[in-house]
Amino acid sequence: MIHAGVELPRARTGPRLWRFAEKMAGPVFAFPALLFYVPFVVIPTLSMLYFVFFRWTGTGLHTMHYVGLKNFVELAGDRVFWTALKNNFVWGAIIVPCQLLLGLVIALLMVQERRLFRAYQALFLVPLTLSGIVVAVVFTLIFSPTYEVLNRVLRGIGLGFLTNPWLGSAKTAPMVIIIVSLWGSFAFSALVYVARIKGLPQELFDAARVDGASWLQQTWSITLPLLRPVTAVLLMLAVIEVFRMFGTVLTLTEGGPNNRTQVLALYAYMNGFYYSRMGYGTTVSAVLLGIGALVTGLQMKYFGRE
Amino acid sequence: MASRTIRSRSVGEGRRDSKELVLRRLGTFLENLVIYGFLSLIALTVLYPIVWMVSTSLKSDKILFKTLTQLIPSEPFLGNYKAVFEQADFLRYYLNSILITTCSVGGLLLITSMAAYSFGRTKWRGKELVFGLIVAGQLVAPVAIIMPVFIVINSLRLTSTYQGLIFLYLSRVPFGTFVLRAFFEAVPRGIEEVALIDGCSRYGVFWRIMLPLAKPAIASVGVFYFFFVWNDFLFPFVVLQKQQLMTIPVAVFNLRGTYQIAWGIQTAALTMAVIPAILASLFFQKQIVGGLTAGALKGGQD
Repeated sequence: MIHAGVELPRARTGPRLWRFAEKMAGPVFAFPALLFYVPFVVIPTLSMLYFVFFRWTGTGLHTMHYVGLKNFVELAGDRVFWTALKNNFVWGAIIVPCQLLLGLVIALLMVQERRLFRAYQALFLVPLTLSGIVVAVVFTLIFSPTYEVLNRVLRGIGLGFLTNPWLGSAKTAPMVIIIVSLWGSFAFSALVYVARIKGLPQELFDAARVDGASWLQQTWSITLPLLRPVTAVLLMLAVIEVFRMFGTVLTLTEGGPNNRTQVLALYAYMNGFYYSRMGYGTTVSAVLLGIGALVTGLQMKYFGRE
Repeated sequence: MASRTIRSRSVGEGRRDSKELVLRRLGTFLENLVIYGFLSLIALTVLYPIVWMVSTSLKSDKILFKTLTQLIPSEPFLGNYKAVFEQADFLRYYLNSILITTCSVGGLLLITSMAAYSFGRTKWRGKELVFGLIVAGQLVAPVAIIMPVFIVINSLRLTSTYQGLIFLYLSRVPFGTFVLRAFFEAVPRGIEEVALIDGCSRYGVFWRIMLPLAKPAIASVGVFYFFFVWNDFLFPFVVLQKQQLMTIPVAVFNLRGTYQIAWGIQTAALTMAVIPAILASLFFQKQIVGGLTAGALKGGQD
C-alpha cells in the first residue's frame, strides 16, 4: 500500500505512530461495520446451530433443556410446518413467475410510451416505496369479509361473478395474500427491466430495423436474450422474498384460519414469541435459513455478484 | 411505436395504395390501444387502494359504511386526522420514526462507505476472510435469525431502546458495502497515489477524496436504506415492546387491533404513514429508481 522508496512526510504526531496508523488503515476502516455486523448477524446465525438442540421457553438461560434431535423429529411430524412449507412453495410458484412476467410486459410497453413514460414510472414507484405492512393493512380493509368493499365494487362494474368471501374463507385467503404480494412487488421487476432495456446498446436495434425486423422480432431475438442475466437476478430476489414473507401474512390472516395460510417465517415467529417455544421456533427458522442460503448460494455460484 | 411507423413509411417506396395505409393506421391505433389500455389498467390497480384509503379517511363514521365505495367524499371530514394525533398519539410515532431512520441511515452510510473503502482499496491480512463473512451475510434473511437476534438484544439489555433498534439496523451492512466497494474499485489508482505521495494519510484520502467522489453512489445506497429502515416492520415489532417507542409501521399495525371498527381513524393513520414515502417518490424519482434498482443491477442485495 505504501510504495517502497517513497519518502513519507513527517506528521505532527511523529513518524512511528503515523506509520502504524497508515498500516492499520484497512482493518480500522472495516472495524465499525463489523462492530455491529458480528453481534447482530454472525453470532445469531451461528448460535442457531446450538439452539436447535434445546427445548427452551426463552425466559432466561437456566430454563434451557437439551433434547438432542427431538425438535427435528417433531418438525417431521408437524402438519402445520408442512402446510407452511407447502404454502411458501406453492404461492412462490405463482407469485414469482407472475411478478417477472408482469414486470417484463410492463417494462417493454413502458419504454415504447415516451409521452407518458415519466408519469407511469412515478406511479409504479409508489408501491415500492410504501411499507409492506401499511399496504397489507389497507388491503385487509378492502378484502374484509364484513364490509365487502371489493365485492361491492365488482358488483358495481358488472363483474359480480368475481365476488368472493376473500379473507373470510381459507380457500380464498391465499388468493388475497398472493394479490397483495404481487401488488407490492411487480413494480420492482418492471423498473429494473426498464433500467436494463434503456441501457442496451442502441446500435443492435438500429441494425435490426435497417434489416426490416419488426418490433416483435427485435424484442424476441435481441431484447429478451440480453435480459437473461438480469432476469436470473430478479428471479432469485423474488424467490428469496417469497420465503421471507412475514408481515403481509401476519396482517392479512395471522396464518389462519386454523393455520391454513401459515408460512415458515410466521410459524417460526409464533412458536418463539407466542407459544414460548424458542428451541422449536429456531428449528423452523433453521429450515428457512437453509432454503434462503441455498437459493442465494445458487445465485452467487451461477451468476456471480457483479 | 408511432415513431417507428413513420420511419418505416419514409423508408418504404413511394408506390403505396390507400388500403395499405388504412390498415397501417388501424394497426398503430390498435397498438396504442393495447399499450395504453394495459398500462392504464395496471395504473388503476395501483391507484385504487391508495385513493380509497385517502377518501375513506375523509369520511365521518356516520356516513362511512353507507358510502364505502364512493371515491370522492361528498362532505370531507377532517375529524379522523384530529383523532389520529390526539387519541392515537401519531406525532410521537412520527418523531420516533424520524429519529431512528436518521441515525440508522446516517450511521449505515458512514460505516458501509468505510468498510467499502477498506475492502476495495486497502490490503491487509485476513481481508478476504472478513469480506467473505460479509458476503455470507447475504445468505441470511433477517426474519430467519430474528429469535437469536432478540436473545442477543435482550442479553445486552437493549430491548425497548432506540439504541437497540439502531444497532440492529447498523448490522445490515452487506448491501451498502457491496455497492460502494464496486464504486471505489472503479476509481483510478492515480488519484489516490498522488495524494498519498503528497503526504495525505489514508484517512485523509478517504475523507477528502474518496467520499466526495462517491457522492452519487452514496445517495443511491442512502435512498435504499432510507426506505428499508422507514418501512421496516420486523425489527421494531420485535425489539420495541413499549407503545411510546413504536415506529409508524408498528403503530399502524397495532391501530388495526385497537380501532378495529373505526375505519376512519385507521385510514387516516395509514394515509399519514404513506405521505412521506409518496412525497419522496414524487420529488426524488430519479434517485429512488437508482437506489431501489441498484441492488438488482449491481448484483448485491440485502
